[in-house]
Amino acid sequence: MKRIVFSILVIGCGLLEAQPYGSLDDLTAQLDSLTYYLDSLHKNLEDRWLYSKKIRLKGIEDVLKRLENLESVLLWESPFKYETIKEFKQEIKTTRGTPVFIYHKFGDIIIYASDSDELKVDGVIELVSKSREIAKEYAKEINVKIEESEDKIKVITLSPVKSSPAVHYQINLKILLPKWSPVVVRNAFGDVEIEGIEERCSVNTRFGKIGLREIKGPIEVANKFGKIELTLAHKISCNISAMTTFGDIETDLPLKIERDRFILKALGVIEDGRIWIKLNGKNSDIYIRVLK
Amino acid sequence: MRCEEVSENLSSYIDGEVKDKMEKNISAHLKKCERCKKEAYELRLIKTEARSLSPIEPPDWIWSNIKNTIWRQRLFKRVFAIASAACLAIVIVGSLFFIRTSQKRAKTDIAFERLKTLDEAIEECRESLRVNPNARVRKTLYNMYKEQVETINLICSEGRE
Repeated sequence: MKRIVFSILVIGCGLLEAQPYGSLDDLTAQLDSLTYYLDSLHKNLEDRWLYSKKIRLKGIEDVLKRLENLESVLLWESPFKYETIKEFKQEIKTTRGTPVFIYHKFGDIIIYASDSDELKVDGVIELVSKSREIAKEYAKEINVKIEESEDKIKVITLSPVKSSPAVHYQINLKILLPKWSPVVVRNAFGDVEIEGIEERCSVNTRFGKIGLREIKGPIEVANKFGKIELTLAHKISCNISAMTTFGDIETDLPLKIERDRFILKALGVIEDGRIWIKLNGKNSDIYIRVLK
Repeated sequence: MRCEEVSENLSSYIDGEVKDKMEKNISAHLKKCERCKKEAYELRLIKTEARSLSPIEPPDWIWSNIKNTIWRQRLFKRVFAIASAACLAIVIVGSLFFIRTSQKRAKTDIAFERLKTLDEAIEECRESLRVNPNARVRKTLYNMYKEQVETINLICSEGRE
């Protein structure tokens, strides 16, 4: 059995060796073999009988070395020459209390609070492509859209309908938001920073850092991979519940920290617990700071 | 006085330990009862003969028997003490082993749980890579693979210990 596993390792990793940057199909094939090989390892480890026999997977050290080859494939500098930058700017008036929903996927989001009732969205779309024609074609499709309805405002980033390995892009948003607007942010591959909002903030991202500073309304944060940094105003009255599965929690506040099997929790009521704060990280470190 | 009563007190009577009324009663009974009189005579004879016996020296082997018995008792106590200590040591070592194994198992369980979340993350990253293979997505995917391999390595090293 060990020999079989080791053979899978060698074959799988051999495919990864010394692969220059190629097409997306090449990359997919390499990733498939690595995933297959890792799955085999995973399954063997899960077999408790083998595990209790202290299965010695000598190939694992070798694998770490071979993973370095994947580094050159995945962390390459883009060979594409044509970089297009497209800017988006829009301002709209908001009514007090209207929530703003931001749906984003690739890129960072920075939100500042303002005293005015205007919502300003500045988007910078960075598009890198193989050719000028492709860049132009795709730049038309990638955009930011603002939808206004009676009870909410939606800021949505639009991706091209048809994906191409010859194009990659990211959209970075800077948003000036009335401080009395509740905000809901959904993102995937990018950081989210919000400062000074006095209403409810709900942030959910999967692969990026979340930083919230001096938010005075209720907070709800969920992150999968990426740290969560919360900086609270001095003498805030709140009821905090923070939990992370595979991370750590650091706090300036006197919270009760406990571990329940996989989950690390920090709970506590500060002053009279007027606003609730819920921080939920999966593989995230959580930092709760208080301004002096 | 009845014969049974006399028989009960006869030995004390012969030794002069019975007094007053009881003594008189027994004397009176012995004069009348031939059976009790005979019994008193036999008892006196035994006591006289017993007094005339010379003191008996215990044989040498009796001391070695006593020594052996004492030695056996001491040995038993020592063996019992050593066995108790050994049992205690086994219980302590067993408990420590159990605690350590439990801790190791808990650590491994967490690692297995983490592998599941990494599997999901890799799948999501690969899905996004097909749509937009930008630097962030690629770097995230690489980090997820790296963490997965490191987690597998951790599980293997726990198994090797």
